[in-house]
Amino acid sequence: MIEIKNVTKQFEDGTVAIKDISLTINDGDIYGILGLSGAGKSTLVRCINGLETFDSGSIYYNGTLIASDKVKVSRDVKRKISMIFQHFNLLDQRTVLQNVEIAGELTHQKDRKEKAIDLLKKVGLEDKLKSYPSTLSGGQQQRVAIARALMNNPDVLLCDEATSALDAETTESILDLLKRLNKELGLTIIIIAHQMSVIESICNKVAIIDHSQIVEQGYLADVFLNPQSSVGQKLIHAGKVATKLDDKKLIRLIFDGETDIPLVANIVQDCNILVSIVSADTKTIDGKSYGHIIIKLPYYDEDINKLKKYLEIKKVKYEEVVL
Amino acid sequence: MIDWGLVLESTKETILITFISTFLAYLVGLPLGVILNATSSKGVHPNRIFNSVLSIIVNVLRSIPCLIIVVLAMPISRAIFDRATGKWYTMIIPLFLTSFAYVARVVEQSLSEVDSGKFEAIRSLGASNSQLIFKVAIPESAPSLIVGLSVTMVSILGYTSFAYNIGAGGLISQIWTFYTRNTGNYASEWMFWIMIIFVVLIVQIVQELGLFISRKIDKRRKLR
Ligand SMILES: Nc1ncnc2c1ncn2[C@@H]1O[C@H](COP(=O)(O)OP(=O)(O)OP(=O)(O)O)[C@@H](O)[C@H]1O
Ligand SMILES: [Mg+2]
Repeated sequence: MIEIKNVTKQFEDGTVAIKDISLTINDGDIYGILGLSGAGKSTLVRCINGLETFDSGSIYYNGTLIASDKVKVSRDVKRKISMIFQHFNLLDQRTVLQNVEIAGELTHQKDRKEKAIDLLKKVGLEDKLKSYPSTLSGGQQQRVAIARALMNNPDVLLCDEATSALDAETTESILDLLKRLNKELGLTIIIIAHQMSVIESICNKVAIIDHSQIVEQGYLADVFLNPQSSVGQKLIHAGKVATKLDDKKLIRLIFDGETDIPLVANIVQDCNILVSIVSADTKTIDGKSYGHIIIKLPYYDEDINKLKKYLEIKKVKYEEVVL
Repeated sequence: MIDWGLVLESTKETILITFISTFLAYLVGLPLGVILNATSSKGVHPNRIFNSVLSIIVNVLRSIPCLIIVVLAMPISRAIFDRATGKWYTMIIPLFLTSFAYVARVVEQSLSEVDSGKFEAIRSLGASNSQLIFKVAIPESAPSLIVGLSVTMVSILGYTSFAYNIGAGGLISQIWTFYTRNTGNYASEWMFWIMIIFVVLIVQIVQELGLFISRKIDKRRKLR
């Protein structure tokens, strides 16, 4: 368990990066930290493993004081609280295996090679042991970084925008890996992310930081379903589909066997337009759809135009139906 | 008339002076550069006052012209070799003294090219400062350190020209001597051009070898 109590940090140039922050992270949590750029998320997380010092307050780890204005995070504690980064930070002149092994070198672990190989198997890179980081994809590099972070059998893993440099698919696979590690090893994870989908898909708890202070914290569902702070509302509703629908105007989409994509779901995703199905009568023959679907049209002209254009691009026949 | 004996002897002298001076300059300059980098604001152990003081000392040493150091180094050479002029090895102390501060800067520059994120990552694994220096800073900047080494060697080789002033020999000094003895027809003498070609060859070999090794050991993906 990590208890952060009233931690305040001011940089030399006078910037107050975090102010009187208190937060408790329980064992096994996947704790999300949200906030706009510059809110103080990184600074907070870096205080936990001593990459940053702070001016007042204290941090406890399993009941022991590990950091305060006078106490510096010891190297032994650092080994128990690992970290991965946005830019992976692998050593370019070392192979994948050597990059993972380094964690064991620092403490002169005898079985470091076997252990590193085991961990690289765990993250799915057993065929890349002799490769150099510059020849790996971003996702693979982050996997190496994760294996490296696991070498000291940490209890906690800090992730500072660990998926921000990755595409959606790779992000998902890294998140799956983190979830698995959380389950299998009981690893506590603290994760900073800008993509809301990241927090939504793996965290059980979340804290929102705004202007150096925590404005909201709690279980994911509570915060996400009913954000109280204005930043919370902004962050959580941003990018969500919110289209006003017109009850009077409908459109009939005609399927003549040419369309075999999940069309309605794609409209929602690609156009960011919410559609509501009024009635549907389709049959699937040989994987092709025939029939029609009637949906409500959006209220605003710009959304209607967007939808029509999309249907034209996808070569879906349609006709407007007026009640 | 080409005096091949003199050409080869001078080549040997140039190579010996350059290599031994470079070696000694790195013996002192490398640790100095590491300390300069480590105590800088982005280093593993920032210490502003210490860094500023050391920095000033290094800058002062670097700004003393070589010819003046050649003169100032004479008592030291005399103490070590029992003579301050006339032999190739009397050039070693002055060149070492002119170069080690320069080497410190070159090394510091190479080390500072290592991304600070790498230090943070390894530090977060519980590394000590010396582990960060020996496992991150130096190995990660090795390709750049090698290039710096070859650049330093070429520059020290250039400084061997001051050997003329104390009669310490070497190719460049011989070229000048040759010129002063044949001011009328030096340009039409093969001897003159052969010695110049030898100097150019040594410079080219040192430079290209440095770049080649650097490229060879660098595991970052080459752009090209
Ligand atoms: N080394 C530093 N020196 C001075 N100010 C800093 C330093 N690091 C961060 N800050 C400032 O502290 C504040 C918090 O920065 P921090 O990096 O913690 O934000 P963040 O929430 O992680 O932002 P982002 O989402 O952009 O990564 C910012 O105003 C930033 O400019
Ligand atoms: Mg940040």
